[in-house]
Amino acid sequence: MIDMRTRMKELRARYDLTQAELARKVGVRRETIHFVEKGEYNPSLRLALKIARVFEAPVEDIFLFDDEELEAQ
Amino acid sequence: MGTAALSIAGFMAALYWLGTKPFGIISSLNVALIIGIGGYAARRWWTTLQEQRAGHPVKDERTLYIEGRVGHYSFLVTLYFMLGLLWYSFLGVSILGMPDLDMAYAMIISLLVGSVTNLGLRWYFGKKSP
Repeated sequence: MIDMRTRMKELRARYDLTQAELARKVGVRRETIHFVEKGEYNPSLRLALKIARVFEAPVEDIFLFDDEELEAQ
Repeated sequence: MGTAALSIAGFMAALYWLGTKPFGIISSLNVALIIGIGGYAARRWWTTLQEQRAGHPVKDERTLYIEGRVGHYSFLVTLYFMLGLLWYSFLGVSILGMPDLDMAYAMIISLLVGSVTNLGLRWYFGKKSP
């Protein structure tokens, strides 16, 4: 199974958002943002699009496949 | 921490009042358990209220997904446990002559098994990725 990673932490820092603030903007709990950042929870399409809208970036620029795993396959 | 301290204090007070015979010890453990569960429930209620006031949702897609899995597995565990009790009643009591099971205790134990399974799985799935 291909692991995924995110750039959410980097984007949060750029936009000066805490996990709680981002969670409030996209309508989820802070823990959900925490687990998404750690790569331990894959968000639904709706949530991924909401996050992308907050960061004004395409979804594929925020959520990335682990390149090493992809090349190995 | 506060709830744990109150539970221990409740246990000690009940043990002092009821004595150290088996009845006293079991009753004291029940007191500690009731205080612990009550304290945990009160803390969860307060935390949820604070989060709601801060504008955070109580449930979201992740928590609903976890609740679905927890409910599914809790149901299965309780079902198999009750089937086990049924087989005990048929085979153990009727054929092997083992002690009969009081219906009230069987229901209470089944509820406890389901509840403990539910709480345990909530903690487990809440910590690991769904």
